[in-house]
Amino acid sequence: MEKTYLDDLPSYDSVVRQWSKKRRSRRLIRVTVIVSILFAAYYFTQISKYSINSSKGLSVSKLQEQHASCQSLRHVPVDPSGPRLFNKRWVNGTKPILIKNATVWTGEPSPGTSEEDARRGIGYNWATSDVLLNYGLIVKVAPNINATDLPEDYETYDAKGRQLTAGIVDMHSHAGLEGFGGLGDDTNELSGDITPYVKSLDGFNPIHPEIQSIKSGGVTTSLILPGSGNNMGGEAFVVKMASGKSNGRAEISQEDMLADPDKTWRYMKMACGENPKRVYGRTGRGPYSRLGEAWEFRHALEQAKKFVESQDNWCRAANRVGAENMGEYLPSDLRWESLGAVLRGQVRVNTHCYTIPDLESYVRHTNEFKFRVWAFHHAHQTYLVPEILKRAYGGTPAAALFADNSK
Amino acid sequence: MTSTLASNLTSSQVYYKVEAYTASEKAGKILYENGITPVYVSDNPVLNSQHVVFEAAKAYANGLPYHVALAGVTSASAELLGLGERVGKIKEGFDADVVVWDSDPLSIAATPVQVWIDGAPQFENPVELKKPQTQPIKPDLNLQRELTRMERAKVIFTNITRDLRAENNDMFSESVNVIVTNSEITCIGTCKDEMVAATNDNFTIVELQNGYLTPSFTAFGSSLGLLEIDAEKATHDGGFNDASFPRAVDGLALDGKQLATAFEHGTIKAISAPSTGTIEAKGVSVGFLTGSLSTLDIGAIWLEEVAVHYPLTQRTKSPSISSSVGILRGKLLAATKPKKKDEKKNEELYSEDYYLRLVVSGKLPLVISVHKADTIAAIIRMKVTIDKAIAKEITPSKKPTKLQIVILGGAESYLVAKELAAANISVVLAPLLPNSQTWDERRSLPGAPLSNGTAIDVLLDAGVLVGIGVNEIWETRGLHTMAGWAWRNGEGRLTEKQALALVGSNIYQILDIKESSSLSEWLIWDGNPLEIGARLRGIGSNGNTVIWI
Repeated sequence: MEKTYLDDLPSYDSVVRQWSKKRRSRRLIRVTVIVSILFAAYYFTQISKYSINSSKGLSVSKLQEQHASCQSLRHVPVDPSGPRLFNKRWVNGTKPILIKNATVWTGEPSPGTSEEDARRGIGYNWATSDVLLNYGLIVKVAPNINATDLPEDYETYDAKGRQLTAGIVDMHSHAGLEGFGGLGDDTNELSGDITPYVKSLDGFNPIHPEIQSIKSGGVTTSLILPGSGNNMGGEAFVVKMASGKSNGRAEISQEDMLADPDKTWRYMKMACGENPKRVYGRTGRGPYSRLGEAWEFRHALEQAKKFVESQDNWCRAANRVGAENMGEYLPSDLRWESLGAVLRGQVRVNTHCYTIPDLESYVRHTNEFKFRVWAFHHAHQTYLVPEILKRAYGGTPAAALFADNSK
Repeated sequence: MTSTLASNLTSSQVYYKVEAYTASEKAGKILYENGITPVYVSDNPVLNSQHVVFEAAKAYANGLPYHVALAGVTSASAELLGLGERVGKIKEGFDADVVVWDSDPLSIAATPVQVWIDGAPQFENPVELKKPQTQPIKPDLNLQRELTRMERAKVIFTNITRDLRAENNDMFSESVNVIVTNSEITCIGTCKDEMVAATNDNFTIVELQNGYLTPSFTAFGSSLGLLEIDAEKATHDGGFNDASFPRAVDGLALDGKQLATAFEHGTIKAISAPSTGTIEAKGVSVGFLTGSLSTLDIGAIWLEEVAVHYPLTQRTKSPSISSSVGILRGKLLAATKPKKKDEKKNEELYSEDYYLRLVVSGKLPLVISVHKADTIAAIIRMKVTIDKAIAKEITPSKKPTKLQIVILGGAESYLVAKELAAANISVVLAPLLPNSQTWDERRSLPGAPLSNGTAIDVLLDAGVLVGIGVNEIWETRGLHTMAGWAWRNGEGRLTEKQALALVGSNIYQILDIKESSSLSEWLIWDGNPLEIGARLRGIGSNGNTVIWI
């Protein structure tokens, strides 16, 4: 796609760096003040950097930095809100688009619909409407949008009365992880059963042809999960199915495809049942049975719990005695960091579980270690045991299903 | 016939592994009623994520409210990802991720005409199918109603509006009644006197809104009857090896859940060859009724030997594709040579050579499981060689014959469509919509908006005789939806009857066999089975009638 760049609007880079165009007057004064402050800050940083905690030989500045990070360690994410000046994923040069004459499914019942009615589908309608897209956002949804509401230089798309919906969201995909035509595969890290520390993004191929064919079915957002060969498969990532200039992006990159550039939430894949047994179960090597799988889950969660507690203890002590007086650095351990984040409520866990024993056992783990599972995937027997699901810690998980292919 | 107890919740199960053996197509509906959010996913490449919206469509057809089904691939999924204020709705302030569809997204074969991500259009020159513009689906609340399965000897169906079995005019000028006794349709029409008599005789009445009478469906190419749980070998007949040449009829295991489920979706008949759950088969296929309890039931086996099967894929090559083609060519050539007298005496019945002699004399078709265009080209070349040998060795003494080859699979067959038509080779696409999952299938056509149609469209245009088969067993439950897909996105290439023939009479024509008692086997639907939301309400087969009230 050919792109024309607009001068007065933010570009992809400037979005990251924030707008900086200001009036020239007083600029020199400002610059001088800023340079002085920066110099002073740098000078003091250097002093503290080399000031050593006398008893233990630790860097005071590092201890202080780590102490400052204690707050973010405990931060529980809040869903990113909608209304914004612009979508951070927006690429400068993307022209505003007015989609005319569409039959729109907004995904919400009409205002004033009672919750009870909405559950039954009352208030949901297909309605004739225009939709205006700008700055990467849906900026207006209304029948016959006024000319005065339209930005300059917009393009018009005539939907000719056809149905318009939000892009499809597929929250269980391994797209981009398996090589094209089945050649090569980066779906499962089968070096061990407990690999919460690996990330699907590291194997995600942003030019895999299936990204385009999947999108041709209307899928715009996918949760790219590691496979289900491990009880704990690793971190997952939500991506938009647009890659490279031909898709209106500034570049070809894994990071560029992340649906939420702020990375508000993290995601993790876990799996119960037959797959890990099949992959690892041998005499003398586990998990051999579901009994062993439950142990694997609990043992890993126990390690993560200890790790989280060690960090929290450090932070409390630093609060009490001052970071500079700490006798050791903040505990860090990449092996349990992501699972620790699960226990801290920062990760949306998605777990492949089919059967009642798997579901009930996993729900026990959530209560024992106090973490939330957001969805059971495949979940074939969930329909038999909604009560068990409702006992899960922190909220009832959803069921991510196939309509009729029970794999 | 399977037990009537297997209805309601457990009637529509599908079973890839033990863990899935109790799955239900009603799961989404039941979960929603119990306050649990169902969402629909692809697990790509398990299902092709391209068609994940079709999962939502089927969930709607299985009783989940329309708005919940659509939310299950949009807003509900976004909320579970913590992006519920940004993704999944058409609302001010949301990310500009938008799809314009050529039909209701929960209709069969709904296809985007353009997609925007963060406001950027994703397809520069999207192919737009010539499709009549349709209104959005008006959610049918009747789909949420549970039906009860029964077996009844005497049944009246009311409000039948179309008969898609009919040769010519299939539309009734007014809705009519169908009267059935022991699966035999005794009257179609107003049937005034018969209705009075039947009502007095305590016939069970099935009242329909918009009844469709159709032929039954035949599953070709699956392991139906030879495999119960894909991932469990104990439930398999067990496939084949280089040394053996099995007959599927000898390994058929009936009365399984897979078969019951296929039956309840209108797949009354199946043709299965020895295999292990994919199209790759070797040996002799059998034609049977899916509703049978054992192979000894009267009518259960309607054709003991249907075709001779060989696989020619990457997975089954031995040791190479070239050697596999060479070995097959050698065997076929050998089968064209007349036997010497002493050999005739010692002829081994049911041997590979025995069946290949039936193939070269035109008595059995040769079905080859293959996806790759290059291998199909090699098969076309092989056919030339064999046909010459047949003309030289056999035809002078007997009536002229030619090797009758059927391609099963055929993801890339469209690339040699004209050559297939010229060689008079027919294709059973299995599956209808492949997705480059293997190297053999890498040039699969994804369809609009990326490509102008899929393989079936190219094959039909070239004049190839086409059927729709299945790759994995679960697909045997959706044969009418696949026919519907070909019909709706075929841009007028197929009539509704021709579309249904893809999973019925075409299979028989392709295999050059007479369809057994095609008129005594029928399906009655409420709604058009080529559209989403039609429900099967009656099956007539082998003297039995199953109804859902």
